Amino acid sequence: MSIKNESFLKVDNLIVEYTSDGQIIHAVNGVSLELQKGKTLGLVGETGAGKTTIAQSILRILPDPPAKIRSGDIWLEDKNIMEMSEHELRKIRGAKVAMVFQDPMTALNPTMRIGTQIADGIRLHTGLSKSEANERAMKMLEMVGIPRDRFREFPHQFSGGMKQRVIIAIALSCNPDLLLADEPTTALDVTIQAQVLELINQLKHEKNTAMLLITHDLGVVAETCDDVAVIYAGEIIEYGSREEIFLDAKHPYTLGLFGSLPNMSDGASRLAPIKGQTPDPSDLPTGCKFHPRCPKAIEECSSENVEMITLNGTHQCRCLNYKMLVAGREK
Amino acid sequence: MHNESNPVAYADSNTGMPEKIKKQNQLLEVMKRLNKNKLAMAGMIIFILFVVVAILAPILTQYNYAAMDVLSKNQSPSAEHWCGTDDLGRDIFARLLYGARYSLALGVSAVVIGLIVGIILGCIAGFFGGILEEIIMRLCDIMQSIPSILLAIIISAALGNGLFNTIIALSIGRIPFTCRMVRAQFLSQRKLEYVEAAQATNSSKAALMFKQILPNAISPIIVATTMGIGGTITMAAGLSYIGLGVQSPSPEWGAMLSAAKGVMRYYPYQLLFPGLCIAIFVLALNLFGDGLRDALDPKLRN
Amino acid sequence: MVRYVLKRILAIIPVILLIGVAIFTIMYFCPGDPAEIILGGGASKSDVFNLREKMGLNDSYFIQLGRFMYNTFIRFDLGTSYMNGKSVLTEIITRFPRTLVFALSAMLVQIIIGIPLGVTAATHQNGWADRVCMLIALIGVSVPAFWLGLELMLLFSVKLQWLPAYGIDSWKSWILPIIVNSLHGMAMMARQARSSMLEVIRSDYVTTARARGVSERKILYRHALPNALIPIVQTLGNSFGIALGGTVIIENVFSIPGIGQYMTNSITNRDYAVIQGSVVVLSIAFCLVMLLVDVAFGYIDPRIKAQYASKKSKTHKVIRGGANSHA
Repeated sequence: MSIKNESFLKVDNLIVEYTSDGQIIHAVNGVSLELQKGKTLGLVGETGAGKTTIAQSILRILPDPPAKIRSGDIWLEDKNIMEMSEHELRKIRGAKVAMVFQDPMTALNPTMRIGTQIADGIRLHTGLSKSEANERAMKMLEMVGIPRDRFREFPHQFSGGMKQRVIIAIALSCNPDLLLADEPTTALDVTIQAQVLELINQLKHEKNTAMLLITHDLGVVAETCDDVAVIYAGEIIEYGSREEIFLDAKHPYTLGLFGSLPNMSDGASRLAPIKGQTPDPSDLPTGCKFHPRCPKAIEECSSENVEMITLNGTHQCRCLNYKMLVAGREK
Repeated sequence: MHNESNPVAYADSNTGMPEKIKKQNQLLEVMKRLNKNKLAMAGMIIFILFVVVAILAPILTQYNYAAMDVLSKNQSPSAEHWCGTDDLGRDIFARLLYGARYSLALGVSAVVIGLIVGIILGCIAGFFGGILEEIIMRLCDIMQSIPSILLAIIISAALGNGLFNTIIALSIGRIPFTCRMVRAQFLSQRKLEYVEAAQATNSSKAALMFKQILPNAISPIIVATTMGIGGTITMAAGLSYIGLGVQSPSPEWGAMLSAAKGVMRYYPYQLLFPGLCIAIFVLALNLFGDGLRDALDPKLRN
Repeated sequence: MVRYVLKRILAIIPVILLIGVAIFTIMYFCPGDPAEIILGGGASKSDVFNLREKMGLNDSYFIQLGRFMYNTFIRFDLGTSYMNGKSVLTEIITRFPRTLVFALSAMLVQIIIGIPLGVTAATHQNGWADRVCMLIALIGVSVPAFWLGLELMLLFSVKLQWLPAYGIDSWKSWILPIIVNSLHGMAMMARQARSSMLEVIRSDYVTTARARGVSERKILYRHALPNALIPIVQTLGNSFGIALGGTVIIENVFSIPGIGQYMTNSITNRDYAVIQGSVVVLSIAFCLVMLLVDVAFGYIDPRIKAQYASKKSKTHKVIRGGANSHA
């Protein structure tokens, strides 16, 4: 692949480690992904698979110590984020790239009025005066459905759903080109979830924002994403368009994920979870990281390092079973 | 190889291990973490050294701490008297060694008594609630509204001098703290959902509370107790210094400081040694207490 | 807000009264006969008995308690010293400002040095600044203040002759006492500031601020510090308690004519009226300062401002209760 291409965001072989107590935790093990403007890529996986780490790496806000980006490149349009200075990074954080955090209850500063929290970001990235920034902040509040006269209130005066909307307002206040949404609806109940997703989609269409949506909820993915990347133990093990993943999943883990959803129409008897547990990131299995739990594992799975295999065009899968298939097809 | 047997890695795992083994593993973890902390281990070793010295005092010195020898009074440290002699010719090194006994006794007893009474009161208040809880909490309020040194002073004045009386005086000030902590644990646990769930399955309310509550409360109590011993020793020395607490001929370090004050211009070593003993002893305890706190709750460390 | 303040004031009145009861009750058991102490060793039995009658010492405990409460809280009469017959209250009033100034200055030093020490340690976690600051804090918490005072006095007043050894004639005489009295509280404040700051630094909203491109410096002063200071302000009352407690012995060490010296001088004389009166006054002062801190705290934390419900006072007591009684 050529380095400079039309992708808006390109992550190339990202490797991130955490050191804790002398142990090394392999959080992200060679993740590569691409995102076009106006498109949404869903990052799916269980808790602890490394999704948040990837998002935070893009903004380079990982706590260091204990986290360290070992290697990899992150291209935003034609600039490499890994080579930017802290000063340049601060210019794009919140402006070009914005992040929506997972837990609305703790993501807002409890001693600062929410209006100030929005307006501060605006003033930081644009040259607007205080009153102009405040005005814009109030507009943002209205856009997310909060009455503008709540501008001077404190976070504890808002419910969880409204707090999340404030966070979204903060994220979108400077018209970012890329939105990193880390489980934006996980902490909310279902009805609010729908509202927030609707809001995100709407704003995305209006401003043509690219979005990286991190979630473990397949329902959310189905509603909002164009493409999907499935993450397991810090690696992307399947990648494709929404239709390809949902209708034609190939990787045993992805199949397991879908299989573990209770299906109303099938007359469910027992839930069919994936047997075993996610591996300890400080002690990962050799070869394919899923092989100890995989119903389709073969002997080579425990020894060979598996690469991404292109099944057709956009659909990719990291599984030896398909290596044979593709190899066979090519013969 | 897939490692399934390390329980620490999985925050939410419940591999079905029997409770006893899980507890042993936890204890082992704490001790391992403690071991890695060199300063904390140093603190513990110094503390143990003091204990040993206190016990072996008669062996370590040939002098009796009360033996007066007016002819050799106020002598500077020498080969004969390693820390010199005081105003009445008593060997200071011997007084320091025996003084360790007093400091240990005062510190440990007062804290432990305060701890036990505090836990009992806290359990009563937390478990029974109602008017009993109100009374106990009011009492704690009042005791804590008087600065602890003042409380110790008036109780010590009322009871009089002596080791036992001073222990009582010092222990009373510690009761409200433990009592509050234990009761707070009860409060927080009372509301937890699993209490309701357990009640739904008819578990004994009492057994439930004690099983769940005390282990949670133990960690901060242990840490506070260790640190508390140091503070109590200092307060004991302070009491003795102003004439309460333990007085001569008993070799309490605080009382020794009081005697030294009058002659400190001329014999500064008499002031130096007892104070140094207190400082090092308390330092060791605090180092160990810090390490203990870090080992028991890694969250606090990072 | 005014409701909240009134509520707190109302709550503290019974506490103060009960403190009076507690102190009187404890002192009631002091050994020795006040009448004997006043008249001296050679007095006759009948003289002692008559004096006891006059002083009301033959009455029951409850009557004496009632008399004490009435005298103390209605007539503001703390009795007379056994030694010189002078009014305890008059003496205390003269001495109180000195002790108050002493305690407040020590508290100020605790805050001014302690908090930056802790914050620096937190922002350079595990670096050399962290270790140095925490070492200083450790020493401050471990070394007995009055002994350090004596040693420093030896060095600076006797050997070097830079500072006066006793009294409060010049501003110089305050330097050593204030430093020594603030050490323990400063150390505790530094440790508290450090852990509070560490918690805040790791919090989500700091990460959010960083993700918005806010500079590290601004994060520290506008986001982290205000939130970290809240738990610290909660312990300000405690800080005062430590400083106030410290004045007792340190005044004795440096011969500062405050309440502490008054009290400690009376111990050897068995002048219980003085001890009792001093402890009552100091305890009430402590309570009032705690009240002030509580009210001020209500202003600072916007969460509390919004709900001045009494719910808060319960959690408050639990948090505040801890630090007073242990070192």
